[in-house]
Formats: sequence, structure tokens, C-alpha cells
Amino acid sequence: MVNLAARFHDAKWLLSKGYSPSVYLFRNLESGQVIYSQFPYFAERQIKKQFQRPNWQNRLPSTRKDIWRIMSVVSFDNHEKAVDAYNALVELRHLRDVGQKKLANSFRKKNEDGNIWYSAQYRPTWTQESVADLTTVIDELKLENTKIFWEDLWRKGDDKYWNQELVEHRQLEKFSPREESVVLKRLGEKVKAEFALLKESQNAETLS
Amino acid sequence: MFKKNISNVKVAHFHTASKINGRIRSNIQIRAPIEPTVKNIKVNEDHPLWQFFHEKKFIRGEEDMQPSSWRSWTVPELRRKSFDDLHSLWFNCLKERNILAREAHLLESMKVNGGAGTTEQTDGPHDQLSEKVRTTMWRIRHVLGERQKAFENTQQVIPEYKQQFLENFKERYLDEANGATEVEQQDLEDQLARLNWALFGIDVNNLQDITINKEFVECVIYNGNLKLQKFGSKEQLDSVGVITNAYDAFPLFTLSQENSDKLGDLLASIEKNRSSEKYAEIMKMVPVKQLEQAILGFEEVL
Repeated sequence: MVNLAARFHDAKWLLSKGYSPSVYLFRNLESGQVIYSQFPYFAERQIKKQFQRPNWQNRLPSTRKDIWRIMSVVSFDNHEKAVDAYNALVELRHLRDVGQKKLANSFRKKNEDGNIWYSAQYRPTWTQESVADLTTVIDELKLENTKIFWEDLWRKGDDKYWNQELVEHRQLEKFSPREESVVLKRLGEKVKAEFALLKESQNAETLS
Repeated sequence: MFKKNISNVKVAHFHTASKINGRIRSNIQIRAPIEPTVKNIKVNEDHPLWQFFHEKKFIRGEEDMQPSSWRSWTVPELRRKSFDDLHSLWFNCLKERNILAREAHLLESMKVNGGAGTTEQTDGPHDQLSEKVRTTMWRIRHVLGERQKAFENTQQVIPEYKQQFLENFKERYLDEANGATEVEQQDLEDQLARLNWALFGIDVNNLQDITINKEFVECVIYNGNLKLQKFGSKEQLDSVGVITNAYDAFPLFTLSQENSDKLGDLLASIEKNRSSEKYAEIMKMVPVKQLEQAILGFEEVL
């Protein structure tokens, strides 16, 4: 079976195949690293693309499914926005790893040896950086009517970082890890239904 | 065709790769990491883990933590308390020690004042207070131990002095019941309930799960006679006489101050029962006879 997440898919394709206009953020339980996906699952190719300069502190994460959990699902009111947001997030990751490497490193909390703070293999900065990137994307691209479903609202940080006019935060329902795929699928269907309603009302407006 | 389709797709990019390659200039700048915050978490007011906090405080200040202002309960104080009081006090102590342990652990990890005194020679306030609470807890156990020992000792003496206890109590109960106020009456009833529990092992306030055995029959007969003598007139006592079986005694056993006016009806029904054939049949039944005889002291029958 082909893993669709292995390739980039544009808005037209996503729309025609009935996928919801969402971006999925998965969090690595061991290292705290985050990957972005257009689908409720991910592929090795995404990991390679989103971790272009791995090193001993930012290792290339494994594809083990059990150590990746959903962190948040970002939903938009159309597929173009979802694709734009996905691309922008991947680009910002690249910017952190390559373009503004020094600046990114200056933000990170360090330990006594001057390395990124860690406990065992866990570096909380990776998760926190992806949250910061999400705020950048929503603000810069002015993605209105964005809904973020958080696995834990604790992670979204202080409200002052978010543009309240553009984004709405919600809590994902509580679920056991083995039910994650089902919950994401249901959420996708819900977002899709909302999107269809919106589309209908827009069509009705244009006809009238 | 494929290329054309791709070129038609409009995608908003930050053009980071182009920026890196120096092809375009972008003003986009990455932001500092956003730390999670507990402000986003709402905790229920009745969350069970609040029991690990003192008045929902993250940590108590020095003003609440003066070891000199705390003291343990003394043994004489605890001796005056009922089992239920001691039970709840024990759990309060346990919770307090949990709170202290949590706070001490927190301070230890924060390395405030050298932890909770663990890294220094002297104990910190948390350890001192915890020790005081622990003292209260062993004293509670001590007092309960005393009571258990007293109970066991009494159980050894009871077979020998049981009749004497019962007679003494009966005398006192009937003496004090005369002209007693409502509060005094209630006190006497409580004493009687305790006596039933101590000598017969019967909890008269909870007869639902009771086992019918020799002690229960003894208890019913003793209480029945006691109630009869308390509420009955001289004529009534003469006509009924001393009740020796549980069948007659049980209606009287259920009698209390509130329904003492029903005594006449009860005695009439006892008289009626005695004259019926059924009563004679019941009295002939072996177990009743055996119990009756056992109660009267013919223990070899059982």
C-alpha cells in the first residue's frame, strides 16, 4: 500500500480525494522532535525532508510509530490554506536548521556545558520551536478561521503569542494511544463536513 | 501537461531556499520557542490530588511553618476520643504528612534553604513538623492498643462475672430511669446499647445482618425483661411474670421511650399467645427449648 504522506499533495488533489484541510503535527516522545504532515500519518521521506541537518543533538528520528504521538491538528477553512501552512512550516524548519541557524541556537536553553538542555534524549526546545513556527505561519500568512486541536492545551503556551482574531484553540478529546488513528480520522471527517457546509453557503451566496 | 498543472498551483512560500541562495530577500524571521504554561490547564475544584496541597497553595510560606506553634496530641487527650474521631484524626495526620512530604520534595528539587534540611546537619521545618504528626499517629495506635487490650481482658473476665454485671446494670438502669430527663434517658439507652455490644456482641442499632444464636436470644430476653420492668406497672409485672423465652421477649425488646405506650397491647398479645395452641407447639420445639435451658444455665444440653 502506498503511503500518501511520502509525497507532497496539492490542494486540488486533496480536495478531489476528500481529505480534510488540515495539517498534522506529530511529536516524538523520546526526543521531543516534531514532524509536520498533510495526513493523519507520516512517512520516512517527510522525516528526511524535515531534518536536513541532523547532528548529535538533533538526531534523525526513527520511524517507529509507537514513539510518535499527535501533538496538534491544525484545521483551516480551505485546502489552499492547509497546503500553504504545511509548506511554510517545512520551510521554517529549514530556516531554523540552515538559514538562521545561529539565531535559532541563541534562543535555545543551554546546559552547563553550553549544549542544548536535555534530559536523557529529550530536548523540550524542539517542541517549543514548532509551536513558535506555527504562530509565525498563522500570523505571516494571515490564515483566518484557523482551529487548532491540541492533544494538551498546556503546550500552546501563553495566549499573548497567538493572534486571537485568526486562531481558535480547542482540546482534542481524550483517547488512548491505540485509538489515535480513529480519533484523527473522525476529526478529519468533522472538519471536512464543516468545510463542505462553508463551501455550500459560499456557493449559495454567489448564486444569489 | 503535468508541468502545466504544477505551474498553475498557487502556493504561498516564505522562499527560504531562495533566500539562502541569495536569490530573494525575505523579511521572515524565526521566533523564540514558546514554552508551555500551566495557565492553560483548568483543574476541578474537587480534584482528588488537591488533598496533597494545603488550602490549594503551591507551597506554604514560613509563617505557616513554625514548628514551635505546632504540637502533637497527647495520649490523655486521645483517650477521650471515640474510635471514629481517632480514625478521622489518623487520616488527617496521614494527609498532612503527604502534604509535608510533597513540599519537602519540591524544596529539595529547588534547592531552597539547602532542601528541606536534608543536606544540612539539622532537620528542616518540614521534617520537624512531619515528626510531630508522626508522634500523634503512633499515639493514636497506642490508645487503640490500650483499648484492644482492655477489651481482651474484659472478654476473659466476662464468663465469670457476666451475670453480676447484668444484675448491677439492671439495678442502676432502673434506679436512674426514674425521673430522668430526656438527655439522661438517652444516655442510659446509649449505655444499654454499649452493654449489649460488650456482653452479647449485639449491635442493637443494626439488626439487619444479625445472626440468630445463643447470645442474641440471651440479649433479647435480658432487654425484654429490662424494658418490661422499666415501663410496666406492678400489676402488669405480676401478671406476665419473668420472661424466659425469646418468643415473648422480642416484642418488648423493640420497645423504646417513644413507643412505651404500646406496652399494654404487647402484654395483651403475649397473654393471648400463651393461651393459644400455637404457642404450646412452639414451646415444644426442641431448639427453643434447648436455647431456653441454655440461657437458664443448663449448658450441658447444648
